Amino acid sequence: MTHHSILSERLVWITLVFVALVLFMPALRPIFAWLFPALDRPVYRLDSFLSLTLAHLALVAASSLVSAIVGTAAGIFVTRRSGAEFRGIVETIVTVGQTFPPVAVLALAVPLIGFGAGPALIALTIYGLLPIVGNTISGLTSVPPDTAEAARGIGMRPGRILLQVELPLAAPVILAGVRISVIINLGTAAIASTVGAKSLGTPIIVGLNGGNTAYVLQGAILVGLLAIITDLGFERLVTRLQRWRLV
Amino acid sequence: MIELDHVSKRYDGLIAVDNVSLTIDDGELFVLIGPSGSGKSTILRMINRLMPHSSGTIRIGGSDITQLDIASLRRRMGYVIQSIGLFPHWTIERNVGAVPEMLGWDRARIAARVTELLTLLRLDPATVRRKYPHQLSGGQQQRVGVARALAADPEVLLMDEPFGALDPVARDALQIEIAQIQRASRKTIVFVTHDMEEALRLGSRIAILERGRLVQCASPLELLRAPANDFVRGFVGQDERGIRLLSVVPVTERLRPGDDASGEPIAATASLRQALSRMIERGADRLSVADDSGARVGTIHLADLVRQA
Amino acid sequence: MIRNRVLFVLVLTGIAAAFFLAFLTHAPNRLLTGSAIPLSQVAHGRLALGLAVALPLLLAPFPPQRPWVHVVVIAAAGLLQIELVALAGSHAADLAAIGRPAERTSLGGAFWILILCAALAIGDAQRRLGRPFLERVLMPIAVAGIVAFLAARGLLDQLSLARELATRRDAFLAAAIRHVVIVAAALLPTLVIGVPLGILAQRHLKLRNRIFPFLNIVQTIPSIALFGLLIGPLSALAALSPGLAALGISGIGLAPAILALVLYSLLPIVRNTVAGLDTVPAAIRDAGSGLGMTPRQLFWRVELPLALPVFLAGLRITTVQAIGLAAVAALIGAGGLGAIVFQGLFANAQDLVLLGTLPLIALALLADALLRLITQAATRTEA
Repeated sequence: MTHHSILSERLVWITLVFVALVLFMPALRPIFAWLFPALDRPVYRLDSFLSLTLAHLALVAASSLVSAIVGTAAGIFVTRRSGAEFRGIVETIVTVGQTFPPVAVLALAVPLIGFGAGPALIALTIYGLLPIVGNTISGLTSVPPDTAEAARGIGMRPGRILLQVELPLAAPVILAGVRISVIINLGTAAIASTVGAKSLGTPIIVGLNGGNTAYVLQGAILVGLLAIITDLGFERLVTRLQRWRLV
Repeated sequence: MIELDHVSKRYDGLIAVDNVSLTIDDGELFVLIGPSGSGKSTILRMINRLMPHSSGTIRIGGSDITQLDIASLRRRMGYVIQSIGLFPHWTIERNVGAVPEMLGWDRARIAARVTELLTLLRLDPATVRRKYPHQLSGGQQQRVGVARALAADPEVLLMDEPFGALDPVARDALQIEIAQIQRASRKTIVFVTHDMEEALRLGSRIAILERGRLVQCASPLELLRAPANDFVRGFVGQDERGIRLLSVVPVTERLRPGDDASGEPIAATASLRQALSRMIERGADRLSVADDSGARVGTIHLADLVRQA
Repeated sequence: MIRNRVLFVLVLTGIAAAFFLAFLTHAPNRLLTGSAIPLSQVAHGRLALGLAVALPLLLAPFPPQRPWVHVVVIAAAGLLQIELVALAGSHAADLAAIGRPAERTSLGGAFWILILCAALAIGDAQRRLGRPFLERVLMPIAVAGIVAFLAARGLLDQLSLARELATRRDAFLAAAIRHVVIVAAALLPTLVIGVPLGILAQRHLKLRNRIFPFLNIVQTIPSIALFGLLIGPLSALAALSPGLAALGISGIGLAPAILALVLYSLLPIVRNTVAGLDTVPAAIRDAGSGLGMTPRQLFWRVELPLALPVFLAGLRITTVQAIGLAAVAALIGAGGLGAIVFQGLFANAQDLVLLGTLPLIALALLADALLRLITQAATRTEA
């Protein structure tokens, strides 16, 4: 239990630091001016960090939500008898697809769809599907056959077995897939500012192109904190889902 | 009543069950026994349609099981398997209450039923109900497995080598428990095992299977007295047959009137085998026999044990 | 009756793409969006050949799925891919012959989806045939070889991708080589540090509990953020020490790129070294000691060979990951294929984007396949 409270404390204070930085970055102007004396504008002002953060979160949340729903559904489909035929090809796509660099998927979306948040959203969604589908399949297939057999034997219908037995038992593995997917998407969304989507990556790209290291640092700190907060949040969620294993 | 009428099961070109006909009466503890691959588990799993049969008819209470809704059919039958198959993410309470929950019982009724069943299976409801399966020993888990199967008071209990993975002490205790529950509730139990000792101990009738075919179906006594062929003779144990015969006959069968023995009496429900064991232990050639109330009802003599049964 | 629903879905997808998406696009110059040219227009006059290749695929979902059907599917899908490339190349050449030099003919959505569906059909048929991995890569290699042959004969020269390549062949080659160099330069120190660290961590639980949280956090931080965070300290370091600056250490460029890649790569290498050694059963260790092996002999003769497959899997993950991360490193001036990708993205030059992206993907797939083969070979000799 003490482990729990320490974790939650860490999560809370990192989140507080992140929110404070998002809201009051301009107030740190003296620090950045001192760190980078050569720069005229040591704090990124083209957009507010709040709007960039919200845009970043919206991009990741929207794509991850679609990925999670579609990916879990696809994983469920290919592990049912009716979809078993498709399992091989889906697993091939998952394995080969994860070999593709995320940047490449992002870049490929541009020739096909164009610039802006649209292609970024689609690239993030497609790439984010892969770990979720893969983990849903491995999670569902790792449910002990005896447990599933017992569920059928006591007269549970397939829908109930899926919802009450298979999915709860597979949930930690599926959630691990969602976690990988969201973390990758957080990073890819930052790079998506190169294809014209606004995100916390925008100050980094603007800073790199304009030689303003302060901008790069501001964007990088926020992106890094956001990823760590998200990861810690998932860690808590996984722990909560598996409470029954720990007693 | 469960009837199997010329039932066969074929898969992958193999015949797992070959034209078996059986009738299992209400209130019977019916044992299916045979070596691995004999089709005993397949027959059990065809009764609750975990496996479809290829030909023939299976009827329960007179109706063809293929005409019944599959989930309701299974809810009418408790099902206990060797690997237990408790839901690891549910508490014992929720595991035992699984079928009542599906049947829409209210919470209070489920909770009361859980208490009743855990008590019946000699588990302490107060401490056990909130635990998760992995916190219990194997024997305790299988007690929960039996409780789950009994929860909605099914007509039939299907048990697939339920005690095969337990240690001898836990197995012994559960065998006694199941025999008592069966005697008290008069439930129909279909019990699969490969252990002849267990079959003779529990079964009211025993069906011996070999490579999918029914070789002999008889009461334990008949089976030991008149094995149908060499396979059955081998299976009931050539050298042990005499001793096993003793174990299926109660002392009341050979009782002599009058009480001319000294020492602690033996229970009337005891088997001849237990009587023999007691005599060897004491170096005596006779024992007095007492009924449940402790009243002496007669004497059992060593000479009567070895009389041709 | 449909007996192969997977192939049926792929065929339907291919047909839909062929009807509704552009097979090629034709633009007045390399920066403008082109007008769509459907497959029907491109295939006009070559119908017989096209049908000869496509017909087996259209029919294959329906007969009983015998091995020969899968062989036909593999052959037909491979031929279809070659046919599509050849069609695109020759149509681009026809257009170039009558158009102005600045005009560009690019590959469209229908082309890519048909190629992808054909590849998936090959993969699915091979899986149904149940051939080993080594044989499965033969068809892709054959197709790639024939396409390379067509390219070498100049038959694909008028496709915009080839024209983009022709105008910057030297820069492209330099970028590709630099990409491989960056990855290698990051992997080498990773292995030198990571493997001993993994061996130590496997033996000392305390060390294990200390390094994994750190490495996990590093993996969590997005690459672009880590690159950005390293710029500051490294440029400060370079400013403080002119010697370092002379060595090429600065905030921007190769140094932060390689440093970040090493930090990222450590986790999978250390983790899989530990996991690999963990797979060695204690009973086998005991048996080895019981035979009188010294700890050193035990490590080299027993533990290392048994841990090798898991370790190699880690190396594969690391290498593929590093190839992708090295592309992002182009943003901080490390060069490589990522530089071409981002140059294309910033200039809105789509052919340039593809010129960087396609080799990047090819490199990742190649590294993955190669390391899979090595892992398999290592596992087989141990089996």
